[in-house]
Amino acid sequence: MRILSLQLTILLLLVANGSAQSVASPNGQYTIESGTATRIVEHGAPVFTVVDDLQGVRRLDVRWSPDSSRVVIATDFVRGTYIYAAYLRDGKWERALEVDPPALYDDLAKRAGGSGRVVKDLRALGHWLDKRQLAINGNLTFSSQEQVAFNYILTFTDAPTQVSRAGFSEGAVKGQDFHTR
Amino acid sequence: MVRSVPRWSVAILLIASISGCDDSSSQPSGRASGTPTQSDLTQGQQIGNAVSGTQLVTNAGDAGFGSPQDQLGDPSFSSGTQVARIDTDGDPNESTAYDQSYNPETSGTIDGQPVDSSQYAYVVRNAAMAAAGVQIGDWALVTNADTGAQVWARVEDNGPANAPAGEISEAAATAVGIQFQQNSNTVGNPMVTVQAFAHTGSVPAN
Repeated sequence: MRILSLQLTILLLLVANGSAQSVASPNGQYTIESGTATRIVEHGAPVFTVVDDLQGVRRLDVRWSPDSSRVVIATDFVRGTYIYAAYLRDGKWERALEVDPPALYDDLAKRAGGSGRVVKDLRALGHWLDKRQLAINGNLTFSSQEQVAFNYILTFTDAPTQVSRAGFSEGAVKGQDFHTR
Repeated sequence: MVRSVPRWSVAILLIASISGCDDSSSQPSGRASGTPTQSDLTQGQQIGNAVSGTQLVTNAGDAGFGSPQDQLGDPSFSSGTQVARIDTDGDPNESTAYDQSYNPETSGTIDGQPVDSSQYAYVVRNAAMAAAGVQIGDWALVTNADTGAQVWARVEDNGPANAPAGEISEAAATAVGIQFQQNSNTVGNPMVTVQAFAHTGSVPAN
């Protein structure tokens, strides 16, 4: 019985370490690998860090673009999902983090009739519409416990951007066409 | 204090779910269910008060983390003036019976345990703070915009990506003179500013 329990525990720990996943790009040149951070690995060597800090992350989801030049990583916390992106520009990787306009929650609440403040915002990566656009589904929970489902398109703008002190290209990815469901 | 990445927490949750354990942290007193004690009855009375919105939390303990030993330089992130909101996560005396958005866990941990909102001054991160390089464990400064009262805090939880900064722990609120109810609603509309300092998590406290 003890051996069975030990085996079960080991199995569960292996499953739990699924966050240390490896997701290969379609062309096989790169993989996303996660340990204490999430990195792009090329031919076995880490070449770029996309997410520095995974503390509190419950789940990671990864979507490579069909041409392997862009990758989107959703990090799920208990109350929110932060969406990171990395893309090749002139042969070098750059990274961005989706930050939506401050009025977004108010706009979605007005459209769907939610009230109170947003206490939870969980999002899930969908499918690529083309090599620059990824569909995303989301669900807001308000302090009134009302829920509002929404979807939108995450777009790589390809516009020149300013890089923050933390190394994120500002405005390189943008949420567009938000709709409530 | 040992700060660690809670990689095993998922495994513990899985083990707990398979073995059919109750989530004891969902109990208001943090104990397993059983025959009610006098303490449980007292707790029940508190639930009633919280639902009616009349019970004020006036003393949530000291700020917990102290203040940083070194000068931290310019903040990496400044919230501007925001309405203060209270995050009760990690407080073992809280529950969804009081605060519907309560969660027993926090993203940060101390000695493997959630950071108790009632004991530690912390602030909640959003995507804009993350984009500024602010990580769990970094130092932050909370200022009561109405009075100027300040407290040093750490970044210990993650909130909704697009929520305005200004969500702070019970201990942080108390330290800057902000009153709140056990359902996490503040008394009035107190305003705060939050400044966060990236890559300062390793700076020790005085």
